[in-house]
Amino acid sequence: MLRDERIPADELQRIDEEIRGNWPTGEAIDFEEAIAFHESLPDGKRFADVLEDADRPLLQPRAGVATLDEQISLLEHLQDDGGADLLPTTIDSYTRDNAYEKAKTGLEEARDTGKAALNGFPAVNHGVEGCRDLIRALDAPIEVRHGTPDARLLAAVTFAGGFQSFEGGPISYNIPYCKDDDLEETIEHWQYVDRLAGAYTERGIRINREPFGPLTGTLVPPSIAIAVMLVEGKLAATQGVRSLTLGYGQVGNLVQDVAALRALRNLGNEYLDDAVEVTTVFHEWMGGFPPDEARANGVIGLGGTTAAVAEPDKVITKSPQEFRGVPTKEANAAGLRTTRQMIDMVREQQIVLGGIDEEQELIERTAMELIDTVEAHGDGDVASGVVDAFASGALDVPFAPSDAAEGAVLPARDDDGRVRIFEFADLNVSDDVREIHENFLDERARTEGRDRSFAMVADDVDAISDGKLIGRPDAPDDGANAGDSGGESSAD
Amino acid sequence: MYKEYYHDRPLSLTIVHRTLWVHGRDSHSRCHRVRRTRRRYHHPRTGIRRRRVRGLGVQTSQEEFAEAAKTHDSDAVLVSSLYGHAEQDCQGFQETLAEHDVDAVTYIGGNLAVGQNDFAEIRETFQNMGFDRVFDSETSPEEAIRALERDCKTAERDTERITA
Repeated sequence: MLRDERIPADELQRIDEEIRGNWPTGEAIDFEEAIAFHESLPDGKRFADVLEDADRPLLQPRAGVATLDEQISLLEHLQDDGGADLLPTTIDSYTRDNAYEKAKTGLEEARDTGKAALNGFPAVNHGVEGCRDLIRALDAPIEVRHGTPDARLLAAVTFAGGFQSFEGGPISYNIPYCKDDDLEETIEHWQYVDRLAGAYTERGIRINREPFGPLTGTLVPPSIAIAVMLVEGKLAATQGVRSLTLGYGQVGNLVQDVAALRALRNLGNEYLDDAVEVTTVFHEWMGGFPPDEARANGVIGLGGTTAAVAEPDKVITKSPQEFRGVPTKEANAAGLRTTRQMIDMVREQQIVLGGIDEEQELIERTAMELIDTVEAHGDGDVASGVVDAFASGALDVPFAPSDAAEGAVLPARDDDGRVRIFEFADLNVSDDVREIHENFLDERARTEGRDRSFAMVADDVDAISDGKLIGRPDAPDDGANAGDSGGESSAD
Repeated sequence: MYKEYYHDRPLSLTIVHRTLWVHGRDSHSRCHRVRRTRRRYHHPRTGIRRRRVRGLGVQTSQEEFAEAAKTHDSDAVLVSSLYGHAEQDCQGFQETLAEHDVDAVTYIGGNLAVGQNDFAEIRETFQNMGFDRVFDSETSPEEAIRALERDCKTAERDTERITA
């Protein structure tokens, strides 16, 4: 039965041997030898130390290409021309699906033709030695960033390969990413990943773990995101993780974003074991971006401004080419520099924003109601509790594609652009909290002269890419999408 | 990987809603549900009856598309893909449909290649793979629906509106 309990040593050993057989590169993993490699790395590559000792928000982009040489040159560019403090290695989608054979085909195609045949770095295929070549080639610490429900082999290969930070978690890499992956099984898989990180930690190699805060990336109410972060943090801590970076995705309202980041840090410190060093990461806007790069830079700038006020430990940056997918390395570096410029200018200023404390109090109260619900569903155990809470809808994530969640809760912005809950469905929060959200949405409805309706949700999902924050009705077209539509229908 | 909607009778339309937004390389499949939710509420404006369009969800295999299209005798199959691997994933798609005796219009749309590419080349690639229409990431759902109305004339007869 699934419990939030530490995996015993013999069980860790058994799983370890089993997963190494999943792909030939697994055979090269040797724990003792891997510890020696980590110990040989200079202080500047110790991810947890660099992050926790920083005196300003550190910047990290996303980036991953198929071949080792191109990955090195991409990361060199982001480090040298973008000024990235921390580097990423984003894993391709076939590896995320454990389809290593397809990743192999893509990698071979990329090597043979130079085509971008994969959307990331197939670390399992590159193996332990390939990962170490990457770690050796760069000066900054590098994190594995992905979206893998069963990341056991990926973790085993990349930890042995010298990576000291690993993104994801059983909820945040299942509920927003999958259709039919069983949540209970995903939690068991991540208990292994966290236990392995814990095993390195006990030997003095602190592997930083980073639950993925933005979830579905689309108007996720902060209280829901924070509740998920706390559950994943607790599951990781149980397995011996001691460096945890809890995440949150920008919603675009300055006051709410600052309040949410403060709530995340506060509750993370309160709820998690004192032995855990808690840091926070702020993701620049994860929803739809404007197609126009100039406008996209505006969205990135607001992210930088928010980070300057809230002072998270780390910021994941976006590029102005976000709308069209994987950016060029130059555009990726530009997103880093835009963010750095905003943070460094705004941080010098004493900025006082009204309403942060009240918003933070509401977020914390709601998040803790959801945590109480999770614990109640599991009779005090968050592992079994979170599975049941999602199954019943008592905990839910908007727009979740996974069968493990109801995906019935819906968000909408209030009259100030803060994300509220429009449809609670079975979400287990108090009547008091519901009323607050409903009142805020009613206020917007009055301003717009329309009923509180699903149209608000749909309009809000498009608003930022259309050049606004709030999806107001009948907004005049101001040219946000001017230019060629590029669609098929305009071509015939 | 794929997202799919289909009509049962009488229109028998298999529709995959195309993408509206891009979340970049990190997105994998998490934004697809946004589209499904939107479509449920938006299609009434088009006159296509809601009960004939259903989603198969994210990460749908070629076989699942073909079986659904066969089961519902679909007139059209729409595929959306966001993460750049569509060319690899759609290899042999027309053959898979043919093996299931599916004779349907096929559309594909979204972020169909990794990186910042020339859409004319992408369109040609997918047309050569047998897709009847190829849409870029800036196309509105209404544009794709208008194309369906042209390609599946019977849709125009169907004017029943539903309220969500």
